[in-house]
Amino acid sequence: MSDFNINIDSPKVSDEQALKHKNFSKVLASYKAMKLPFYKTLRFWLWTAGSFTALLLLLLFIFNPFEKKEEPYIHQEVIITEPIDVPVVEVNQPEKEIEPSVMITEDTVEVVLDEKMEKKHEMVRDTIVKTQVVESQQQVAEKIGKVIELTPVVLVCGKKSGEKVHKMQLGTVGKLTGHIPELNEKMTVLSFDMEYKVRGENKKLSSDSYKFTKEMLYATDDMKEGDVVRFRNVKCQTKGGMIFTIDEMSILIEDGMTQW
Amino acid sequence: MDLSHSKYHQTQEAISLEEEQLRLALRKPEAFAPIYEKYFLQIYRFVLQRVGDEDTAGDVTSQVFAKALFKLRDYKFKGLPFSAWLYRVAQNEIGMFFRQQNRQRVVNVTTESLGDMMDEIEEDQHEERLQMVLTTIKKLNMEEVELIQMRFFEKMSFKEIGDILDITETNARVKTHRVIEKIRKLMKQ
Repeated sequence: MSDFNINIDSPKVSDEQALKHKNFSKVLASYKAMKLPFYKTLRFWLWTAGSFTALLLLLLFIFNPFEKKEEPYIHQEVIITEPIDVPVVEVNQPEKEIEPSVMITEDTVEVVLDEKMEKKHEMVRDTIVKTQVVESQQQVAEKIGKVIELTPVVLVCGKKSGEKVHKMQLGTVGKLTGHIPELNEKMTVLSFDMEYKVRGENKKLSSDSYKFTKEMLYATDDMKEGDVVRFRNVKCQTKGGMIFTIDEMSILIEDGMTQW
Repeated sequence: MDLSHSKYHQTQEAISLEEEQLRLALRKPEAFAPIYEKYFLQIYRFVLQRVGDEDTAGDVTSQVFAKALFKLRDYKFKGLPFSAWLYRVAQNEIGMFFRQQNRQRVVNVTTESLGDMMDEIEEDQHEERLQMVLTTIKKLNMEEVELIQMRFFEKMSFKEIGDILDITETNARVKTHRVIEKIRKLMKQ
């Protein structure tokens, strides 16, 4: 039930009486006193947009998605430009005329034959092509009956021969690392010599480990942009105990504000 | 108390003039004066019918026109007469007034208008039956009271009622008829 009063036959208000309450000035005063709710004002929207933009910029500053991630230099592939002596493993060849070329990838051994040999060695290829490389280099070589040439690689602070290395990097974390790409095997650098020129004078320093000696680290202070630093007699050892000697590799010194 | 002086039905020329005045008022509030002059009486009486006090009705009416001026940008010239839009604003303001002041709403009726309603209900207009109708009206909800007040006590057309309550003319007619039926049933109990 509604809560209201019913007035019956209340005296009629004449137009004259009603018009006494007409006051446009009062209407205008009330109108001027009215204010839009804050959320409907331009100020609110400017404030909201400004806050949102500031928040967005702050998030971009904290989690910058455009920032380039530096690749860790220790994973860079390096190829030695100068030929080196590597040990050769020879196995008995079943027939002299069969000379398949061999490609070893990470997972498979593939034997590529020319057209003439195709038919003759069909059986050999079928059995070898899909063989997983799970055996040692020697076992693989025995199976495919071919010499495998190894090319050990040495990196200076993760940079290959002929590349630039910042002198700050060289002077703080100077070290040499080695690996054999064909076998995907890392090597430990046992010793190396470092040769460089300071004010026209040739200098030579030696290290008995993979790290730079203190003298070597200090020596980087005198190096300048474009200087060539040579590393000779780099001895590396595989896990299996095989030792390789890399005659020479060189790097270029980089200086300045570049981030390394 | 009917609103026979209603300016609900106007000529196209009058409507165009009114639209021009409203557009002008959007830029300059003082230009709202002719509209205020034109609709003051009918809005005042509409408010007075519900608040029951002349001074209060005057204050609420001023507030209605001030609010209408403030929200003038919300009014669209799309068939809805400006007076109907003003009534809607008035209804909102009256509702707000009762909520804020915690006062009882008033329904002003005349014996004559009650008689018209009795005719619609097909009841004899005896004193006893008139009192019964009034008692029955008290049992209705506010929306139903609003409908019979507009239709029988303020003599509004169904089109006008529909525009004010934001429903169609047919819907206003059907709803009013249902209220009459409800009163009839309640009176028979």
